[in-house]
Amino acid sequence: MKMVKSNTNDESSDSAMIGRGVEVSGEIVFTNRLSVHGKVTGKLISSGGLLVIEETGKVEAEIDVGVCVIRGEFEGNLKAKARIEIYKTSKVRSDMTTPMLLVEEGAIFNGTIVMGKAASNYSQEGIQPEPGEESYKAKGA
Amino acid sequence: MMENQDKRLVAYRLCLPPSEPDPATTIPAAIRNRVTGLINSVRQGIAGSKKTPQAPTSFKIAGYNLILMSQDGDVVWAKEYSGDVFDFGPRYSLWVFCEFTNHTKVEKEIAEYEIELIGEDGSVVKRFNKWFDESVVVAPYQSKMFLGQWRL
Repeated sequence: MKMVKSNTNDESSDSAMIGRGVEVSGEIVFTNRLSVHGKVTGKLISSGGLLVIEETGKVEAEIDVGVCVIRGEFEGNLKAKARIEIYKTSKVRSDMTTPMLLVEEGAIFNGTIVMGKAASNYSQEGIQPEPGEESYKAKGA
Repeated sequence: MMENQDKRLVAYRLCLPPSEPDPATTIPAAIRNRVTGLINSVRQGIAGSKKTPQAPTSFKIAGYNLILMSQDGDVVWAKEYSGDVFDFGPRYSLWVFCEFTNHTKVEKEIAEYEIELIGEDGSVVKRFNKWFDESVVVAPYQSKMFLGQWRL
């Protein structure tokens, strides 16, 4: 994806950013971190990476990542293997699957939370859980 | 856990029916002092919480533990999860969903569970505890989800 450039100012060369005013449509696969300040439509995939939808970011997509931090607008299905964070500047309309959800007061959230099993990249001690999901509905704080 | 058990013991002692021997005369002085101390500390805690509400504090969360317990308080199962560190600050709500699958050939009865949030230094910074009125039975190879929630 040429429109996604590496952020050379960042310490990690694996970080990428979609700048403000940039619109991307399609499937984006990333490894470490992707910050979205612009608009994305399509799919965002990372096996264990961090996706940050910044305040100016607008994403209409199917997302499957490790951790997802939302400060902007998001609509679509979201699966996070480790955690989802929704901050007060965000507007979210989504069905989410995650083992951990952090919501700041003032965030606008419409949708459902499906409890996913713990992240595969998390270290686990004990018996490995088997796939299985139970649905809970949660409203934004 | 021990502290909770102690408090339950205190409650039991205080609720003895009148027909029972007076605990003040039958229990040793050491126990009597411990009970009195506990009652005083609980009273002080209640009074203190009314006077000066604690300011919310931010925590760095590095993981969480799930601990399942039987009716007797024995640990049936425990599991530790750890990952990258994140902030849990004032005006935040946090939900943790933990799944347990019974891989044994016998039923597991769970009367109580705890989910502990672990800080950067490995210490427990928050604990969610829940008792079931009736024990939850997890059949062999079945799964059960346990929810912990906190708000600062």
